Amino acid sequence: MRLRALALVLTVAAALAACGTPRERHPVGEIPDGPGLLTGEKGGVKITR
Amino acid sequence: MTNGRIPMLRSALAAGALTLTLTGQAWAQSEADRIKALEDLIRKQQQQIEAQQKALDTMQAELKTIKESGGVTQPGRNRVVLSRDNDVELTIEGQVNRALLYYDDGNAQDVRHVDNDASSTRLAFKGSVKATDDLKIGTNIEVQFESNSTADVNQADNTAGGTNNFTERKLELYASSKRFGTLTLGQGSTASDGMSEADLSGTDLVGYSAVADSASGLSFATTGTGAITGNPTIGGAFSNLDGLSRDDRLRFDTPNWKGITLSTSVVDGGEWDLAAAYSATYDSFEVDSKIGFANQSGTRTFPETILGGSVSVLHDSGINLTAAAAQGDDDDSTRDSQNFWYGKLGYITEAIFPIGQSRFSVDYGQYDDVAANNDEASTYGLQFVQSISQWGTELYAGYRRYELDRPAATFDDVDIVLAGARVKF
Repeated sequence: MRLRALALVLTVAAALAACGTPRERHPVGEIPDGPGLLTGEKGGVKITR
Repeated sequence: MTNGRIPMLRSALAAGALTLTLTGQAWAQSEADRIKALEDLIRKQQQQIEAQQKALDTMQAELKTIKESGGVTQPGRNRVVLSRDNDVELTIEGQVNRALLYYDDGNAQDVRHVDNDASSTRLAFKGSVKATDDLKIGTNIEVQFESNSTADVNQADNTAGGTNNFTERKLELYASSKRFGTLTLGQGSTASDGMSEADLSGTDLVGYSAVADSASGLSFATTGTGAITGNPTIGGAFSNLDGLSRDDRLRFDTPNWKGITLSTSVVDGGEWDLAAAYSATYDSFEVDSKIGFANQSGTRTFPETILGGSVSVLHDSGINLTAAAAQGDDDDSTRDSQNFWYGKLGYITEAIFPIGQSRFSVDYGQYDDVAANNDEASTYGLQFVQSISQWGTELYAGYRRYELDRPAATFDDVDIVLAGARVKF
């Protein structure tokens, strides 16, 4: 039963995937994307060269 | 003309010639000096132009560095801290999420100062190095520090008894390849974490399928007496069965194929899970969804297995719909299957305030047999979030009612209002 449900959902997802553009997931509860109060457009202090 | 005048004329002509010669020499000498002076001036101006060009090049390079770094980085050579080379990066970020929680349990009312456990106050250090064109190796350290967490605060004490210290969220390292996928080792999200929590409403920090997060430490009060000792808490009666959450695990994620990612993890203690996520954008709407199966029989007796999923759709108009459901089972247990379903209708607009999105939503959820057999817990709520995008700030307020029906017991409903702000820094 569970495998059938899984297969059904995966089939639907695969069909949808044919016409959609992938987007990045942002899980609920995580630090939000975008600018921070003290940082720039991407948010976060970046230490790089 | 007389003979005496001729010598005088010659003398005069000779004197004139001498004068002209001397004057010509002096003029020539003066002209050469002027040319030399002009040449010196041109040379100095050329040096000034070259110096200015060099300064301009330096400023342009520093401006480019600032733009690439996101804005407020100290320019180039003035930086105090640098990574060891261009392929190495460390990002430091975090957030503070504080709120006031008003509750009415049918017998008592009060206000608590809380840290919103739906998205706790935390600090993160994310390091990465681009090892090759295809391979990235990285580390995540993310810890939370909640004073008076909504997960702990209750009616009996205005100071929550939870851990008043840093607690772990993510302590992990990973290797990520675009071709072969991502392997992650350490404390962090398992594959099934978030399978019940797809939500594009933008109001999740004050209401989502984990409805207990706003006030999970509060207890239901017995009708009539108002007693709370030994009674079920909101956190105990409402669970969104969100897989294996975060734990010490080895996790693998396939490369993203047209928005689809398959994941699995093996957790310390013998738990394991499988999940599939799909997230994509279409012409006029976005979709986010995830399903998963988790087996936690290695560490828990009930529920041993969980199957669940969630989907959220956001239309360009701002209208959004979210649904989630899951079931937890154990064939050998005397407990009934634990299950929940949840729905949310939301609206996002930028037409009200120019400072950022205004987000509204209403939700309803039914959570059965969570704390005990035959428990029927239900909840509904209203949520509002106002984003102030340039400040990385979200102001929010939400109302929620919790109801619990249990045979042979009568509990009052619990009403809460949670209002606060999450500030990302």
